[in-house]
Amino acid sequence: MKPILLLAPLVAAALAAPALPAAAKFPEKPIRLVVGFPPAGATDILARVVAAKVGEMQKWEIVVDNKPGAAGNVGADIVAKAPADGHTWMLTQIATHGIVPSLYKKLPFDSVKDFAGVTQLVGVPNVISACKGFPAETIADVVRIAKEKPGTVTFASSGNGTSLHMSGQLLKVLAGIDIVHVPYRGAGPALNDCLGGNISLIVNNFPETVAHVQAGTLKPLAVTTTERAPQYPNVPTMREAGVAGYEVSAWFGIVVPAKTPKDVVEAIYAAVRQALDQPDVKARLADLGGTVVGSRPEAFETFYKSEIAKWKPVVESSGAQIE
Amino acid sequence: MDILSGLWFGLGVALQPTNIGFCFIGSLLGTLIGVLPGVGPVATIALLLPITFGLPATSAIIMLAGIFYGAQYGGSTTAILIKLPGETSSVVTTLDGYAMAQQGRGGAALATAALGSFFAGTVATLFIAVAGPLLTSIALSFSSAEYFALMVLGLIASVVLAHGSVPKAIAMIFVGLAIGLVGTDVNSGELRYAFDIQELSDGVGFVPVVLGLFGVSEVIRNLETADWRTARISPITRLWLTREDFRQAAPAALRGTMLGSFLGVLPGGGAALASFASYGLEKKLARDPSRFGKGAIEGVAGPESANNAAAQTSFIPLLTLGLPTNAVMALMVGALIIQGIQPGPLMMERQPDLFWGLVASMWVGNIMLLVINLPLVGIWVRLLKVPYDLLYPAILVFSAIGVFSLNNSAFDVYVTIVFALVGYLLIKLDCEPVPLVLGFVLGPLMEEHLRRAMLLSRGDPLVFVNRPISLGLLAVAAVLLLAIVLPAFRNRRREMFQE
Amino acid sequence: MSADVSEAGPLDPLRARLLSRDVLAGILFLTLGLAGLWLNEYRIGMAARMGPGYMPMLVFGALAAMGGVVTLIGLVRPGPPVEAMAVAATIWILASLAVFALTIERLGLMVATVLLVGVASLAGHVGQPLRILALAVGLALFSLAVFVWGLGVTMKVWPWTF
Repeated sequence: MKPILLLAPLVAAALAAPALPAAAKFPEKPIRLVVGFPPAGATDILARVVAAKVGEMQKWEIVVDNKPGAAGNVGADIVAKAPADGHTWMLTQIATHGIVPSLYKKLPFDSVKDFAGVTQLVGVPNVISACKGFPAETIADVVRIAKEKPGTVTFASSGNGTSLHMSGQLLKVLAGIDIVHVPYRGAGPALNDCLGGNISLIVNNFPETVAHVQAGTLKPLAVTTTERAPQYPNVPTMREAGVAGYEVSAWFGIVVPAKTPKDVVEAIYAAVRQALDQPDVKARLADLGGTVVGSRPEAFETFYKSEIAKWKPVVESSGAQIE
Repeated sequence: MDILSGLWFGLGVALQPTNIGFCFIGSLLGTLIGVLPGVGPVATIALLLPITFGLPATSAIIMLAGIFYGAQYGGSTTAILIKLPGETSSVVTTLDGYAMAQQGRGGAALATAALGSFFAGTVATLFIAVAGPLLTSIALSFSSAEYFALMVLGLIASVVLAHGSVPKAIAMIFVGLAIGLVGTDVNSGELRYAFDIQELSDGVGFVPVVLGLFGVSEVIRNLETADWRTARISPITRLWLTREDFRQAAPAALRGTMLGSFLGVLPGGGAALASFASYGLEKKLARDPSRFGKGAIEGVAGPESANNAAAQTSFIPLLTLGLPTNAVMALMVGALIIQGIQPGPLMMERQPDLFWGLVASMWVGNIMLLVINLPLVGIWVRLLKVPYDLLYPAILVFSAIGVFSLNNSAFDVYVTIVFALVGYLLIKLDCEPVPLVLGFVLGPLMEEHLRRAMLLSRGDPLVFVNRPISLGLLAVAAVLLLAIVLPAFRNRRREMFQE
Repeated sequence: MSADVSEAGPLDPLRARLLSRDVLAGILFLTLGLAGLWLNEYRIGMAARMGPGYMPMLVFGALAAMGGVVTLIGLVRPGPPVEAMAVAATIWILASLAVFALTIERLGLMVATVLLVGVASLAGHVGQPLRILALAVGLALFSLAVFVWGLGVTMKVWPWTF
């Protein structure tokens, strides 16, 4: 046989190799779950819970990579530019794929074009509470006091442009009242002024409120979602409290870089969905105030696109836009 | 549970073999990372958080706490021996600590730092047990107006820290304030002076700045002379303190402890001030202030006690109210939430073993740290005998890796490079870096509080004088300013008359 | 000791005054202050409702003012002249850190550390390559043990790993 014919099968195999489906070997190396916030925050804790469960069930190695900065923008930029091979995920939330596109005039990434949705993990309520010394028992009281004395009612949030800030802003817009936003660097300093009686209202992530509500130092007036929080059965939703059309859910989800192959996205979705269905995961997430969603990739993408559209007018009305 | 029975109960918890073990691990680890430049308690605790999932809550918190105050012990080591401060709290120690090391009294400086810290830790732990709620109510009465006044006081007091030209020191404060402006403005969300660099959106990192400004620039300075290899090390005269040293250091440690205990409770920037305030106080009270900067032992004893006391009392708002006072406490909150414990006002009642166990273990931890650190003094001092041509690359390696590992970001290393150059330039121009650091640390906080105070008072500038605490602090600041400026005027008039 | 400017011969008084540490420091402060003011493109607002540009205006303005003060004092009361910088040492030390920063993410800890030590040793004109190599490898291994294995910091170690 001519020697060159021996080479033919090798050449054929070499040419055919790239055409073999990549998903058959997914994942090939450890997976990086980027969290754009510092450790021990709500986003980080959620990421770790999910990563641990998925890793345990699928025998995948998932490493949580904290890349804090610019309200999640540093992390988002990294993932937007990461290789689209399914090994880089991002734990996104209402900020990066809801509020941020309208908040910043210049962004190094595009929340819609640079990412592909995998699934929405949970929806978590925010809580609006009255601080020490503020004479309101209900949201209706707040509206009344704000209308009688415009510009005197203050509300604290843990940062400009956060979903907490926007929760307050939405109340301002929908109820037509003049309340003043006071931003803080994180929930700790905000709570400090609240407990000291220097602020009228405070908007918090759900987990931050539990201890204080139990101790009686915070009086929750309403939750921002459309369903009551199981842990606070006596606290009305904002809609029940009289603010029609109000809905804010501090949601979290997973996205990957835009060009990730569809079958890889499906594989990731299936794995995460499986983890979300486990009772212990549901219980941990419920502790954090979260209601599990686990939507399909397309449904999630539709969802966050609608969130981006929803928050645009609210952000613009708040004047919080950043050059 | 009253205090005595609480402490007794806590000791029972803290002295359980597992908890002693975790306390030891935490303290040892804390000391080591305190010595390593760059890597600090925040980074380490963040790295260890996942491990705490599987541990019982009390043991986990005891270990994490040990890391935190252990790092205060370790951080002074490099500040004294190679002028490399790892944390805000050890920056001031580089002044007289390093001077003492250069005079061969490095052992005494290290021992002073360890003893002072131990004393402060013990007293502060007592404070937590006895005066926790009282100190918390003081903390709650501090709002932005009071913080602003406190920081103004702090900045004016830092002029006292200056050894040389007062106008240059003031200018350095403003340089520090300017560097602190870089980053996201809290009140508007606007990104200032970042030139579109995303990594600067949270400001210039403290650790890269300080490592470059102090540590690396000192390396460059040491390599200046042609005979650097032989000229460096002065013989170590003694490892312990003389009777005279004790006599001078003890009152300073006491004052530092008091100051630090109070400042540590204030969320929003109290602890950062503690060591600077203590140094300024000691210098003002000293019979011969010119000794400072040249190896005055009070300049080590006071600040080291202050920063350890502040580290301990910074737990108070966390334990009594669930309020974090700094980044480490915020991580503790996270660790507790992971364990399913809600940090808040009810923690003392609901988890007495955690509360009292932690308090008692702080005291146990301080004892352990003293036992660990004192013998280490001899070892560290011996490390100085390593030939400098081997030592300085090691310093650079650890600094570079330490800085990089903070955020896994090479950008931080570039920041260090820039500030190393700046630091070297400042050495050449006889400008002091410590006021710069203070301006850098306090500046952003000061601005945030000023604007928030105005926001809360709806634009009324009289808020600073209407509130009693704020008025008091500003009054002290004014008096201090006069005390600094008047003698200078008197001197100038005398000179003018002589001319 | 370090090279003194006056080694080159006595300078005329004016140049000596201008090259004094105080004057140069003052000029530095003045330049920084003015640069900051010029780059202040942020809304200033009023004292009651300060915009993001208010504080920069105050700080850089004060810095420029202090710069002027320091320069004047330096001219009127001449201080010691500035000493020459150790240019070579500066360049090599800073370069070593730069090399580290450039290579750590792509080539990993070990390579970056060895390169750092190599370049840094050029600052000391040390002429014993074997000693330097031993130091470099030793430090790299020690760092691996302490940072990666001991502290669990995740970073790339070798050029070929994840």
